[in-house]
Amino acid sequence: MPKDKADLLQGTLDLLILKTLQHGPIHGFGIAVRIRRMSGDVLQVEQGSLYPALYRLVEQGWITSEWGVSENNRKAKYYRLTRTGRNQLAREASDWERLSNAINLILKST
Amino acid sequence: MNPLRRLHQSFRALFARRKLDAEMDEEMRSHIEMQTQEHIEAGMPPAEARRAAFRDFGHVDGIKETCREQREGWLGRQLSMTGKDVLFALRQLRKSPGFTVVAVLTLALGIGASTAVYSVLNNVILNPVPGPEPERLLQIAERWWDSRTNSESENFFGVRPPVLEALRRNEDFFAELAWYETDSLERETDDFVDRVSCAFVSPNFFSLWATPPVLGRTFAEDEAVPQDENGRFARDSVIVITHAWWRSFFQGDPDVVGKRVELSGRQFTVIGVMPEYFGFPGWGTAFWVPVDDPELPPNATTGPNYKVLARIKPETTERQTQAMLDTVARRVSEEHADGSGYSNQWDRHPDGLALQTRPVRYAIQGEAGGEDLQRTLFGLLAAIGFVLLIVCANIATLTLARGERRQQEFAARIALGADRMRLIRQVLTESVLLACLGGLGGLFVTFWGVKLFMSLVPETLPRLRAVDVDGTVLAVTLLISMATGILFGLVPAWRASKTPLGEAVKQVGSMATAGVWRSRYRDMLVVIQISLALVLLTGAGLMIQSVVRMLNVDPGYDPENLLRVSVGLPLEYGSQQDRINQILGDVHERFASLPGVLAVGIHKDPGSGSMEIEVDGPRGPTRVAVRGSGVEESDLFAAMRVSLLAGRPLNREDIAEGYFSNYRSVEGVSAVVINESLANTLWPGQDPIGRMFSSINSESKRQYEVVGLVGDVREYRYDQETGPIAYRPYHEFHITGAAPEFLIRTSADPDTLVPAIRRELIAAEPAMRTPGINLVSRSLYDSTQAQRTYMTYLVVFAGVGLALSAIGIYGVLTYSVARRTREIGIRMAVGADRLGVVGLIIKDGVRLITAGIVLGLLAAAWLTRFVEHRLFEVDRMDPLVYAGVALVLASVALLACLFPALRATRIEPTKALRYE
Repeated sequence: MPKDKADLLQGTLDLLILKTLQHGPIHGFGIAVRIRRMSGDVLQVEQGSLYPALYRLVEQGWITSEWGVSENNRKAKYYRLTRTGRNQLAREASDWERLSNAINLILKST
Repeated sequence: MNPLRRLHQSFRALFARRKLDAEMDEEMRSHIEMQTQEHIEAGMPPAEARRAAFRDFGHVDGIKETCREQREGWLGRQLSMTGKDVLFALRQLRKSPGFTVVAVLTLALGIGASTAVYSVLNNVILNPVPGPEPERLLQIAERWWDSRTNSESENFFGVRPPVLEALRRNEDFFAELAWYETDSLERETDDFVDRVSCAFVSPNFFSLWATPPVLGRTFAEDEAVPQDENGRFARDSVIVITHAWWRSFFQGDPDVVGKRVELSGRQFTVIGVMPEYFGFPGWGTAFWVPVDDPELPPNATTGPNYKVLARIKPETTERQTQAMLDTVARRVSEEHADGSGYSNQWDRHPDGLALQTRPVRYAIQGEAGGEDLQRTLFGLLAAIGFVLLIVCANIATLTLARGERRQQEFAARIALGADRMRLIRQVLTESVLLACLGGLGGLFVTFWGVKLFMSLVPETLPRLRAVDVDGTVLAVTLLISMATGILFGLVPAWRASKTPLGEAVKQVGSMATAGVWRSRYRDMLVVIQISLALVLLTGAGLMIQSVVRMLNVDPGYDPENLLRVSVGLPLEYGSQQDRINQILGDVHERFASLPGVLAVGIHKDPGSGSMEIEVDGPRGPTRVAVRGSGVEESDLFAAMRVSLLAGRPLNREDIAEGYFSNYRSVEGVSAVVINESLANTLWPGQDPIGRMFSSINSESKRQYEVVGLVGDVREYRYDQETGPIAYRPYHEFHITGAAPEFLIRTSADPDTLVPAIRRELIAAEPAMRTPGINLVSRSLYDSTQAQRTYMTYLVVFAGVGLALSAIGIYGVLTYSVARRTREIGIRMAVGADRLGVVGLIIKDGVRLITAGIVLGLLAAAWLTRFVEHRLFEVDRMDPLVYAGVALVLASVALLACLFPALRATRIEPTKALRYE
């Protein structure tokens, strides 16, 4: 099973989700939209990855969910960060920064 | 997140699935709707926008499934996977009901039976003493010298009153010191006087056992009653009663505490009832009376009747105990050195008075029947162990064969992408599930089996603790069988998971996969099974042979339509010989005149009245038992129909009254009738009539002249030892010893006479004790009960073993036929006939059977020593039995071979060649 690749992708998606939730509760569709917009339409999150990731994060205890009403007056499930989720975000963000810095260093050194 | 919440969430994910799923649906729907809205806002027509939103979302059900898995977390995933595995395993097991039923049944029987036997063995024999540190509970007794054999007696009798008194003075040495003595008290019923067995105990007796009563309380320290020198109680007393007596005498009255019963002229108030399992010292004890330590006059002589039990303090060593007892013994002999009372008996033992100890456990193990029971139970345990081994071997072959059959399935599933660990996990689940089902069945068998095996425990055995199912043993047997299942279930799965993918695909549909090592391995299992079954069969065969021999034993008389009535007379009549003889004569007359009575004989066993006689000639002193017989109309041999082989029966002129009641009074020559054993001992091959012998230990050197010779008699048991006996007229014996017996020969059903017999006894003597009335043929048959029960168990075990081995060899051959289908097809194609094919398969079977039988015979020759003690007139090496069981096993096993062999002949050569 191609486990390592999945882990890498999964971790990245987790980080993105946690980041989008940093500014307040938001529903699944909104997360997808926000990631797309924030990445300048570069990152298109598949629902097939998004929802499993959300459920996994809930199970990990980093985010929780509750039902609410969307801007269009629809019933929607809102996700928000928990305290541990906030810590996790900080940790993962710094990890990511370190990693991307390292990669950048390598790529720029010719 | 804290683990508890996580656990909660996992469980919620598993068990609140429907609600969570509905929420998930809702969420996805709302997502799609929002997407649709966005598309519409971007200018798409509504229908197209909706389609696009669905397309964007992707495969909804797939996403949901992934979400569910994520939702459950690791633990939840394991749980739900296990649940699925269990369901899958159940489906698999249901698909092969034959395998499942056989496996579960054999497991249940094996686990249940072995746990039950061990539980009985452990609680009754190995660890019979309840409470903490039972090894510190000791029994103390005088070392006893048997003057008849001139050696130290193995009997652990007890101590005499002065010793008890001396031990009491050193009471501080012990944590607890108690004693008991068995006796009986008399109770008047509507007709007879009943003797009720009981135990006189020191008031702290019950505190030794850590066993509380089920009703009321046990004795307080100040409740002990003094006894006078004749054993009469100084006042009324309290008693604690056994569960059995509570049931039979008080009809289980829940308000029994406070009830009174009159015994031997005193009132006894019930203060407590002990639990059902508590019966100490056994022998039909009905109740316990708290009694003061004996205060006997110094010139009284009494035997070592006081059984002393002591709990040793934790810090006391064995050596300290013995040293202390030696001091006590020395002091007692000094105090009583003046030649009065007890002292004349100290010197019976060459070492003088000496005390010894043993753990109380041995008191029970050494009790009559205890040793035999231990051997019986160990024999059964061995038998069950064999059954368990056969079970394991069978499960091994079954799962192995099954696993190999499923190897193709595994290979196919791996080829289709199944996770290997998952596969192993499923097989494991199946094995564990099977073991659990077997274990559950085993639990039932255990509880039922404990009751069954308790029937082997003789009632005379002292019992102290409840026989509860031994949890450890249950767990161990369960683990063993589970391990077997897992081990042998795992082998094929492991191999399948190790197979390279290409190989696995190639293997799909192929039968020619079993390696040589595996078939050899399975052959070995079958050989072991057969040999174990043979050992079991041999044990069963020997027991069957014993029981048959026993039931065919000629008791030396005609036991049909014969009643034995033993009549107890008040002990006070002991010295009044004339009065006793008059009563017995009167009773005889009354019995003889009853309608349907053909003859009435009288038998009296004086018990301790055996005498040593010596004859002129090369033989040394020979021990002979002396028994009393009626004369003329009350002749014992005529009534029992014992054959008079030579000479004449005793008659009235032979009676020399008062002889046995006073050894010194009569001199001269007495006529005796002797049995065959005595004749063969003294004068082998010669006519004994008219020969003389004399007694050694009588001061008078009385002479005996043999006037008649009768056959040997087994009065009570078929397996009774017959020894040399000399018969004299019963009139000479006083009341001690066993109660006089009337043997009544009737013309028809003797049972109808019982009421009349009771009536006549009361009429003859109002103080008559409750008689024992037995149908001789019935008690003879009942005497074989232990052997018959044992035989039944062994036969059942052997049958199970035989059946299992037959299944084993059948399975192996069936498998080998299936494997060799192509080979057989080719053989048949090139001209082998059906007989040849049958021969081919049978040859395989015969090889295994022969090996198994040879191995089994060797093992049986060594192992049958475990049943030897139960064998009756059968040599444990009896070649007939060995040949017989080998034949039985061989034919059953061959029959099991025949089915696969016949199946082989039905192979169509053309099909077989296309088989793969």
